[in-house]
Amino acid sequence: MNRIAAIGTAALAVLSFGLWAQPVGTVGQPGELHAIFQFDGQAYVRDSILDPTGQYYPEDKFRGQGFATFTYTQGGLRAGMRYENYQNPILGYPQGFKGQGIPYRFVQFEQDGFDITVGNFYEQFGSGMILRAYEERALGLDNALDGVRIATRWKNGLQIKGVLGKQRRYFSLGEGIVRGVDAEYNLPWKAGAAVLGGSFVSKYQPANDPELNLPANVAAGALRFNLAKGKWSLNSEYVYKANDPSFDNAYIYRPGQALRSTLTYRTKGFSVQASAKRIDNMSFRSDRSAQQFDVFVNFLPPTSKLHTYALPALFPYATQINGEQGGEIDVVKAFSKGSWLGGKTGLTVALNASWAESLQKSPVATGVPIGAVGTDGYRSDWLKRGEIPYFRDVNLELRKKFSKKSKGMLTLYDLRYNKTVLNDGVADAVLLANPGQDSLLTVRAAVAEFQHTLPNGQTLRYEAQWNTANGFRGDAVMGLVEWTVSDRWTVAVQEIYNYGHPSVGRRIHYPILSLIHFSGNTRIQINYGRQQQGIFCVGGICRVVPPSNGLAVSFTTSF
Amino acid sequence: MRHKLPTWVAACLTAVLGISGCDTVDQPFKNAINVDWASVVYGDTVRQTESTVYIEDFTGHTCKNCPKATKVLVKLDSLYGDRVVPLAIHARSSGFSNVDTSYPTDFSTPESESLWNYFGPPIGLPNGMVQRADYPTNQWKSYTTWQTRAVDFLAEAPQALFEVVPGWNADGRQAVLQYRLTAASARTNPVHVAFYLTESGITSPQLMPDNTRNRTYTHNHVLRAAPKGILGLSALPANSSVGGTYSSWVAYELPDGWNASRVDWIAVAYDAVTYEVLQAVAVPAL
Repeated sequence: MNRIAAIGTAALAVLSFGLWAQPVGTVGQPGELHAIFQFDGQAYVRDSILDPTGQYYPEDKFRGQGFATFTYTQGGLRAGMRYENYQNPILGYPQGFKGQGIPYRFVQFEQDGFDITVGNFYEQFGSGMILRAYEERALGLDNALDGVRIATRWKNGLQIKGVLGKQRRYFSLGEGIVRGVDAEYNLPWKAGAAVLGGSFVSKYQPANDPELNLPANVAAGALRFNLAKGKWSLNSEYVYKANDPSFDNAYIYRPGQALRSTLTYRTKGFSVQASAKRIDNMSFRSDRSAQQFDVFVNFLPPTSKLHTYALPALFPYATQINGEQGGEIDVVKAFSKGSWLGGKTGLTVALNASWAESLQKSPVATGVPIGAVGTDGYRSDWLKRGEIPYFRDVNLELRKKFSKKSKGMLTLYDLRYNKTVLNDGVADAVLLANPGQDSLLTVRAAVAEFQHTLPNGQTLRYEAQWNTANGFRGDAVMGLVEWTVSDRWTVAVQEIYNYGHPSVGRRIHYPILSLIHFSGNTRIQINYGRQQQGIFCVGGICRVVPPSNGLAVSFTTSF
Repeated sequence: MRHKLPTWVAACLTAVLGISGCDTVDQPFKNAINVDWASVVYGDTVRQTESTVYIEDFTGHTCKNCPKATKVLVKLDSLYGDRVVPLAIHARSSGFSNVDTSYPTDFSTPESESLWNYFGPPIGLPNGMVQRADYPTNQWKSYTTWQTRAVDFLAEAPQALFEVVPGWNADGRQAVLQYRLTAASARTNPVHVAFYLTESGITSPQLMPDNTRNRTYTHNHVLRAAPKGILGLSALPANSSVGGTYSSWVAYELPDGWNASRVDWIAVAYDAVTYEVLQAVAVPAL
């Protein structure tokens, strides 16, 4: 009852804020209230083939989670809150969310040229490598800050932001305090565009370790630039972080560094983008003992293509926050209609290649093991290749429109996937001490997708996927047919058969039947079938998805 | 939202954050020993692949039945070799480790007392813990059950594995143990690691089961020190998955009276909530 009263009070406070103290420019302006509601639930069925021992089958059999976000806007005033409910979190979702409450509420207003937010807010400095507070609901990641944010933009093109707060950790806050300022300046360059930026972020967490002298305050600084002239653009950011011993880096005192640069050439029908990165000991959390996605201060952008088709997505790349180096090149060429390759309707070819590997590491002193606690961890040469390959991806995508009513796509993949690192999470130090013990898989896959527009607003889309792998999950094949019956109904059926699993008992069928209904702003989806065990990634951040079987319902609406 | 603001405001804010925002640590360890790494000579690396069993034998030189418990340890050693890791704890509080002219060697240490008080006290000697199982309600096990229990534990899959390398600096009598602990099973609770130094081959009188005094009795595996305290250090956090690892080193300057050639390191990984030992390893200090 108290909780309901608290929700009501918070809602009332949010809605009536504009009446109590109206910032300049809001008097007399009409207010608007918007809401988004989502619910996801799953009823689990015991499946002795998928889960022989029942270790994944939940005792509560049905789990549901959802949220409702309310945002009120009146002139320069915005206020909002989000109620969340996880009873209990669906399988694979971080179980720390178990419970319910209002973890997100804020008031934002503009006054005398300042944009001020109190309460919860999201923020990003530069590419995020030094600070990024954001939400990725599909992952279960939400590291929103709870505190104060002030931003202002000056007439001379200088923009400054300042933040102070604690980070969300499920339904509470992390122990550390995050402080940061960011400045960005648009240089007056008539020939193109040039932006310079710099950030400074510091975290504070009490240090009471009986063994180690831990830094209570850890600071990081970043410099960045964006240059654009004609068809070319170049952006780069460098981050340095002071000694930050943590669980992630096994309590080493080595400073962290990250460098990421992207060069782009873009003209009509053709683009090339090349990225390179080096991340060294750049896990940055406001709690040094945190794990999973908890209280990350920063975000390390991936330099590999995120594959969304089911089979290649089973071998995703997760950014190695303790250290990696690599790069990516992405080439897209559109062959126009009437050209030799374009034919009558044109053809788009996209070639993407990326790789990632460990940093080269050597001991800090003779006899001191790499990564030993209380040391600087290791030495690393920027110009040397790492000993451990993590990932390599070469994929070629062909997109073709056959007619006004049909189009298709074919993608070929060639992957090298270090299962030991990316799936099992084994640290570099272990592999360096036991060379040759990692399992580097060769995965090859092909995906074909076709879509046809049918009479009466109907659409038929179908996919065929196939992959081979020399171990781990082995070979699999998939088919999907999706029929959009009308603008209100879609039905889909898919089947994955893991026919080449090294273990005969795991050569399992994974059928899923889906029904989707649209009604205005409301979307309802019902799935029934088997969910494969795997790793689900967004932006290089991944979580483990356990196998399950059952009926899943998703309901989304907004006004 | 455009407006004009003195630049010095932002400069001051940045300066305040810059000055107060970072602590640089020059000496990571509290009470650290300055190891002369260049003089350290390393022994063979021990990489575990199997489970071990850790037996804490609370004993005393005036405890007449204690040699019977020691015999069990000797038998287990002959059967299972280094898969059995014994530690002999002589605590004054037991009343069986007092020093007099007949029993002149003081085997007791502050760490022995701490272990006695922390896990006990046991009722009567000999008594012991096997893997610290069933703490805090039923941890004390008669030596007559040690073998059975040891066999049961040894039959289980390892829950964690050590990789250790001992090092020795003869000039400073510095013993170093480099270690890596890897979770071999998913852990719900945090895992801690404790380190003990033992000395073996000490000839000193012992009261025997027939009430005679054996003047040339050989005492083995005697607890001498616990360089990181009896409960050691945090190693793996809660919810560590298989393959989760932690590596570090520990050092200790051996007092002159110890026979360094008979000193062993023992490293013990245990569940920080239940105290049950997950894995142990013993290696000679040099």
